[in-house]
Amino acid sequence: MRGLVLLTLLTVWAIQDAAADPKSHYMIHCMGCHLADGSGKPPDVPAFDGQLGQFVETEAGRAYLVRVPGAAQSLINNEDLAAVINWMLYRYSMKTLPADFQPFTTEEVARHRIDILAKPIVLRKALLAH
Amino acid sequence: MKNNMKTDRLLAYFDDWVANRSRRTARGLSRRHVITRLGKMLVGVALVPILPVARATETKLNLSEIGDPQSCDYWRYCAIDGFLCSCCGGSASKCPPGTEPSPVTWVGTCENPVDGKRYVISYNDCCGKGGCGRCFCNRNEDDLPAYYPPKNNDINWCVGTKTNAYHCSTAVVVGVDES
Repeated sequence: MRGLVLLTLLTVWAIQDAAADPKSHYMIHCMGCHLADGSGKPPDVPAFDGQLGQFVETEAGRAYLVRVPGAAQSLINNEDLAAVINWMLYRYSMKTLPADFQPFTTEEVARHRIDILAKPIVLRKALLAH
Repeated sequence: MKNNMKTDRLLAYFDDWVANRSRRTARGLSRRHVITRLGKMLVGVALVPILPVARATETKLNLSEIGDPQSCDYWRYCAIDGFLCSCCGGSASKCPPGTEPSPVTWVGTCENPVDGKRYVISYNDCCGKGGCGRCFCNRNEDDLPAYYPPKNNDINWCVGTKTNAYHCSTAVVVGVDES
């Protein structure tokens, strides 16, 4: 019986958590191409799996995640964009996320967002090769 | 965000807990026990939606709907532009035989008149045959000009498929808009 109560509480918590804002923003603004599981359609739409976490290891990589056209030009404000990127890192890259990862702030997103990448794939290759 | 990390760890713990409990239950039950059969049935039912009918499948949303999926004013079509697959041998969420759903697509939201909630709709095109030609429907709620490609419905979304021949459009409900 105690197990059942715990189970119910856990389920409610998990559902509420999943229904938070970033997930809706992901569904509406990103999922059309990156798909629900983040597998995308490589090479045109990169897959997240095992890669997102690598980008946050460097400053240039962090900036890249904000500067890619899909992120920089998305129709959400800086605060929401920061929340979506953080949500994606936890959701799709938990395993490769550095232990000392600092979540993106609204200010950091605002700083990089104005510098949209025209050729994201070139920088992407360079960043992943380092 | 910390909350998410905690949730992930908690869910991992929960997975282990369920796995251990199931093994323990399996060891203690005979082959013909009613729970064994019931378990098989539950697994069977859960597996049906992952049959390879279409890549985009409706999630467990307990949707209550009214209206006719073959009619252009059906609620899910609030931003559709194309032939309705439900008139072309498919349904509002499945492609007709002989066509394949485009993996990438554009996503919008529509209000469900039954519960007043906004749902996230994925407008996957079905590709691989010429235009269906039946039930043309062009409603453009939230549709943006072509300089916002991810939010534009005039684009042929048959990309990433074997051919880019457009046949018809579906409107798959993929979630609830909580934003």
